[in-house]
Amino acid sequence: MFIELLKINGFGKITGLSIKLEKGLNIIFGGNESGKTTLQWFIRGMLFGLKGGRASRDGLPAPLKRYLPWSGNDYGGSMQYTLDNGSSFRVDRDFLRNSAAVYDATYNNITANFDSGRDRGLMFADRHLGLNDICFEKTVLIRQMETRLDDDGSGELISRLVNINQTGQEDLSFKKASEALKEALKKHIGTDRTTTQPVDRIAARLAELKAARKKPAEKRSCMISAGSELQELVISESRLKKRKVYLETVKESIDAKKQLEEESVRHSKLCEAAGKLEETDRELFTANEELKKFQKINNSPDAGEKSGASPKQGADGKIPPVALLLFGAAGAAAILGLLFHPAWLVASAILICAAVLFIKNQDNNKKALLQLQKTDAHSNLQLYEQRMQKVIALNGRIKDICSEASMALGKQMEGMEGLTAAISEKSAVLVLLEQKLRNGLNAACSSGADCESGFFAASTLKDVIYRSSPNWLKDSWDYEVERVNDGLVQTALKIKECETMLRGFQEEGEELQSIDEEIADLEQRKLELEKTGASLRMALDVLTEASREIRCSFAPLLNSEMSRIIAGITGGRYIELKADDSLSLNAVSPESGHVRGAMALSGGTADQMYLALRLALSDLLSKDKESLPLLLDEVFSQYDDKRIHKTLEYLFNEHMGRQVILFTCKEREVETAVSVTGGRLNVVRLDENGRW
Amino acid sequence: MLHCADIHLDTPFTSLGSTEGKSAQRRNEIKETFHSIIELSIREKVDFLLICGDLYEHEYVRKSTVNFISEEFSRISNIRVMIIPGNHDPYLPGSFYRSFSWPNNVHILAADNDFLEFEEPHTRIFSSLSPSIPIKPSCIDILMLHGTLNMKVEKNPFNPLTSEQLDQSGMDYIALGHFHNRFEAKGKVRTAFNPGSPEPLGFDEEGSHGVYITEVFVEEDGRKHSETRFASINRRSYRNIVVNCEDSGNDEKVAAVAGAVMKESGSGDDLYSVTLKGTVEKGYKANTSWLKANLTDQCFFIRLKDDTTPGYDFGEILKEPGLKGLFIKKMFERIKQAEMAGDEEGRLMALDSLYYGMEAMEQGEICL
Repeated sequence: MFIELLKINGFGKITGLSIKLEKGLNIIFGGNESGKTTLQWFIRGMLFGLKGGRASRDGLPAPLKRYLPWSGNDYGGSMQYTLDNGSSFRVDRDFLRNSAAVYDATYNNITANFDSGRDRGLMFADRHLGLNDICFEKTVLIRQMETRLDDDGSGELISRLVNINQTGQEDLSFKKASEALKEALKKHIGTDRTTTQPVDRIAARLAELKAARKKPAEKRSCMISAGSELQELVISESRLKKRKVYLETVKESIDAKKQLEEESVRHSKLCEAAGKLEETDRELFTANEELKKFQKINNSPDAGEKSGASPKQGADGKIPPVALLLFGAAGAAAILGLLFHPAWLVASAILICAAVLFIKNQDNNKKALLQLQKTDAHSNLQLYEQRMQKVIALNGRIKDICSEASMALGKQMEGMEGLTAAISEKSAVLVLLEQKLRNGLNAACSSGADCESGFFAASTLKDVIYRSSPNWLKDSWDYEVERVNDGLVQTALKIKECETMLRGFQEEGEELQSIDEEIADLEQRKLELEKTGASLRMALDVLTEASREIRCSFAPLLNSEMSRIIAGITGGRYIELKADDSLSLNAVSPESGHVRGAMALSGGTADQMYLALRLALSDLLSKDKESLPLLLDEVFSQYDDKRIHKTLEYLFNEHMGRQVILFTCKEREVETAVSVTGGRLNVVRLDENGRW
Repeated sequence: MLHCADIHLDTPFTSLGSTEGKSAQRRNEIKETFHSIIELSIREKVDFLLICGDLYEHEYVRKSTVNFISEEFSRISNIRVMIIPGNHDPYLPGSFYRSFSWPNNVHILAADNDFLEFEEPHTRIFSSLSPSIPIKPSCIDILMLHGTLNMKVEKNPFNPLTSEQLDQSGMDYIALGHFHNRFEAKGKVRTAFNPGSPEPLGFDEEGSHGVYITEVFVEEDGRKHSETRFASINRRSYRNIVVNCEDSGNDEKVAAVAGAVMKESGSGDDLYSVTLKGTVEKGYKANTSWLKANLTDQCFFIRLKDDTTPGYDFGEILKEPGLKGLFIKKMFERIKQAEMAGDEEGRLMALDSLYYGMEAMEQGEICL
């Protein structure tokens, strides 16, 4: 394609200007502010329209506003161009009205044949040139100081160029597709950085629900625990009541045991009393007998005072027979003495003396005996008195014993007979009480089947009752009963608490179910979104991978082309120029032989290298496709004369069939161009008013 | 006897999402179905009502529901209600089986009480597989279990059982519960009956649902045989339907086709899970919200899934040398890898990625 005619009605400072252009090299020459850049934007605007909107970051107004005509009302113009196939077209644009019309060679309005975008307007250039405005700017429109591509442009550019090159489908844009995927991820799913997208909202809602669930779940858990606790408390209360009843039966046994012991004590006392009484009776009898004896002795006439018999008479007052015998013998002897010999008188006298002595002796004996007896009697009297006292005492003791026994018996009882009867009665009572205790224990054991705790475990109850003292039993029982009663009171209180709590739980709504249903729903949706997210990411990864692969496969072509161009531009100084994935350029330094990044080289050389890149890209773009005009705006500003010559030479030789429009303010460049082309070029000179 | 299981009173209906009011209505319908079971017990004049587990949802059941159950049991005071706990109503501390005062005709067989004997008819009910009770020829022996029969696919099957074990049980009737779909497992010697949930609870429970009614006969010579029939009592059915949207290009057409399929397969009382399948016109994406809104009048509940695919000519696109062709080629490789690895989920994800990528490249935006 080449542009034949530019007709500017009103565009920035330029008004009513017509410029003819030719195939091959065209130089638009003008000083500063002559409108070169304005003209360039006009060409761009005619092809692709002008964007409105906000000013750029560096404060430049949007192109639509920037190039409002300085004078006049017309804001637009027309452009005629011819495609490689010879078809000619004219496009008229009114930038103010944002309208455009395309005419064919016979001025048929063929505007409707082209797509129109809301933002991009009429898209005839996309079809005729085979590339959009971005690609145009990044390839064939090379502005001063903008040879280098920015990072954003490079990757996208390659991809689009590849597609354009290979499929002719310029609109297939990796960047656009990847942005669409990223946008979908961001908008419909959410990312690590987002907080308000669907997945984030779902996650937030899930967190809310899970927090909201805690309260009713806890409440329910409390209710169930309360119910369970209540059941256990009721069982516990029942056990305590049963234990209480059991303890009552145990009490009967304890009472029976106590009674038994008491009666046993009484019985023992009675038996003891009986024993004592019997002994005392015996003593009393003995004492009485002795007393009687003493009384007898004390009552004899020979007593002196009241004791003993006459000495002569002996105890009974009679002459002792021996004495009689002796008197008799004396008498006889006397007789004999009288009769026969006086010696017999002596004998008689002896006999009489003997008798008297005997009697005296007897007397003395008796006296002694009586004295003794008196003495004895005296001591016997004392003894008698003692014995009397003893008898009295014994009687007293007997009385006491009987009194004690009566007390023990609880009723008046006299004497051994009474005591014996009482003992007999008590024995019968003891038997009954034993029986009562046994019956009580049996009853308690059978009723206390589950009562194995505490002092009165049913299994050892009998043992405990029989072996333990009534006091200990009573104390222990009191303790047990108090414990059971306390337990019953506490249990009753807790039951009341549980019942109150249970009553207090409002009948549950379906809150838990609703929450869980919503949670399940959201988790399902989250899962689906996550799957969708994973699919989108996979698509993005694969798309990126494909794009990189394409770029890599394109790279050798690009590098080869760049190397050829840089060799031409630098006169063979640099013969190899390569672009990495981000289109950063590297070359082998002729001095050191090392690979150097273009940016490390001189500004001029770097500029040339990036020009080589742009030219290579546009060459590849144009290969076997519609040839595209090259618009070079002050690109030689950092070139030395030699490089300018070489570059122009290259452009002239390599792009003979192509339209090159060079915008410059440097006369030397014009001169060099004239020299290189041999005058076969078109020079348009603009004055400071933008006039040709 | 009437044998039922898995009633799941007060269960949440997660398959219905959070659709307003539907879940609550279904829960009420389960109560109605339970009431129907009681009515059926009365009509059939059964001696026993066997409930083989999961009568209610322990985590959610309300006291009012337990009272309702109790009242229903009280209505059949002459029928012995035999209940075994399940995995959803376990016999744990806090269970209503322990703490609630059930009517006298209700017997709960649990670990500490896994066997009961009744006179007239002379029947023994067991709730475990290894009773050490001698055989009584004239007695009808019934085994109630809540468990997983012959299933090796589950990771942690609940109470796993085998047909061999059941065959050796010596029982006259084996009443199972746990699985929500009805089945009869014929062993070598005896058959175990699993009635399923009397009211279906999810989209994996299609078909009719109900209870078994069994009569066991004891001959004079002591031999026993039983006759079992299934009584369907469910109020609603779940239906999974696939709607072929081949060459559809608009929602109205899809709605019409889907509506017709729904009408053909079920009634307006039913719950539908509709999956749209087929290759649709390029650029068309079914508006599932609109479709759902349009079809909701024809059923009790509907959920919609769009599994349609746009009509890309992948064969042609693969030939393209550019980005699109290479992208598709790579995606096809990934799909194949997933297929060969048996990773169905991965395959579906790759398929979705393929369509998203195509949509991104062709439309410049993704419609979700």
